[in-house]
Amino acid sequence: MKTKDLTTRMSQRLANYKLDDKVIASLADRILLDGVQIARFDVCMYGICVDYFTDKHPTLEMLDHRRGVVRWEVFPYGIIDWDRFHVRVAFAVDELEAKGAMRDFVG
Amino acid sequence: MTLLDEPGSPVVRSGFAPDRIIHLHPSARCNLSCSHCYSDSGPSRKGGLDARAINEALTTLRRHGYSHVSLSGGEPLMYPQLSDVVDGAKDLGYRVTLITNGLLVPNRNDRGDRLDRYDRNQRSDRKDRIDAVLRNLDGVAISFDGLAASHNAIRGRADAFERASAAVEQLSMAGQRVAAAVSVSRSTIPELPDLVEHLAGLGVCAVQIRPVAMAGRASRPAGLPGLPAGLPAGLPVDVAADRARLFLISIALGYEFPHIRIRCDLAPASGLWSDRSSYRDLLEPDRARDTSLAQLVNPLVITENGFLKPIAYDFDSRFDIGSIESLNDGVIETYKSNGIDSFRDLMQSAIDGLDSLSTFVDWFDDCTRLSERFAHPTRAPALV
Repeated sequence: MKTKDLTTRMSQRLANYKLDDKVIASLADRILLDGVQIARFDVCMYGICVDYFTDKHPTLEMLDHRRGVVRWEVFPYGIIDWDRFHVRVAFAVDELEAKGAMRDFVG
Repeated sequence: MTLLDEPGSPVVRSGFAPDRIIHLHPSARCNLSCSHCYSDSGPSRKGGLDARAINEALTTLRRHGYSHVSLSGGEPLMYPQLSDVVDGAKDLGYRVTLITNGLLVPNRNDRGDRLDRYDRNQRSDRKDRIDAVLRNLDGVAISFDGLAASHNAIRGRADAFERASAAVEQLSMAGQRVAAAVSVSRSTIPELPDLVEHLAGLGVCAVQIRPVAMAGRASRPAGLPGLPAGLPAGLPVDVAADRARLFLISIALGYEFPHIRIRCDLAPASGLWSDRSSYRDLLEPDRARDTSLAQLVNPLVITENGFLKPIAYDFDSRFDIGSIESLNDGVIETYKSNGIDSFRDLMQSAIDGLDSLSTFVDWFDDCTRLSERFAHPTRAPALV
């Protein structure tokens, strides 16, 4: 399966009402983090992987286990932009059919 | 920054909106009678504002900080004095954009062979006039409501989708920056991914996704007929899950179509609450007197009757600022000193309410619904 197929299906899967309202509402609650901006949003082998940008130091409190975070990575921009961080977070979402897709976290 | 700006433009915000914008409705006359129209526009609506009165008002409002005029209606391309208004606004230094249903965007492949010479000449004159106006604009947005079946049902015209799509393609090929303004009800959410793919193929540079405002025709029981079966027809996107769904779809679409700016009118309440200081100039009376009207009331709406309203066309009339007939610097200063108090109370209440919400907010529409509750507290609760 190509990445484009997966991502196209992502918007369609969200739009077709097969994902229950409760799942959608809960997903939105989980991925919205105060003070950070969502840059990318995609299915991955864990469920959903979200790329954030922030100018604050990312902290563990932002990503407590209640949000269903299974993995996260921080990429400091360093000398390019000292105050900017790219944070990539994987959330477990059992209802997404692409959860088992062969696509690694770094994609 | 607006939908049609280049990404990366510097932004100094006024309230939650980055641009100081006037939504100008010069007439409610329209060649369609859409079932969701918030302004009840249609072919039977007559009259409209005089271009000279509009330009005088725009001259005054330019001094008070506004920088962008967005023309709407009715169908603005039907407004006979459109070129006078656009030329006048451009001369004043406004950025001018327009939202249209696309039916009157000239099709350069249609030479009118089936018409007699008189009608052909008439049509040619009109095409030239509209072409000249379109070329003078800083951006054009074409309105859509879903894929062909839904769009045509809502618009009450079998070729509405085809004509709107042709307009996007025509303008895009002519090098114009063209966006799509997509109004969404609960029934048409499933069509969004395919619609955006269709629009991307036509060459749009941006897509604005907004829930249908439950005002005008859309607020009446007969609103939004003829939508595809299987889902509740015509329901507004007002429940938390639908708003969350629409917000997430917009993010996903933004990733799927990275060359198009996808903007959704919904925002997380927590994000707006964090950004509430954007309204400091309005909420602190001592600051309000020393700041421009555009910093306090943004967007500003001019209706086809000449009334100036804060925020939205259907904002309750008790919050009206005045009319363009009597607009001058003195009227604006008086409003800033006294008349703005009720608007300030309303916006303070709306902002305070954000703290307790965990859902998505359609900020300008929710403020508009709140204006009805403020003005008529005994009525049934609004959607907010």
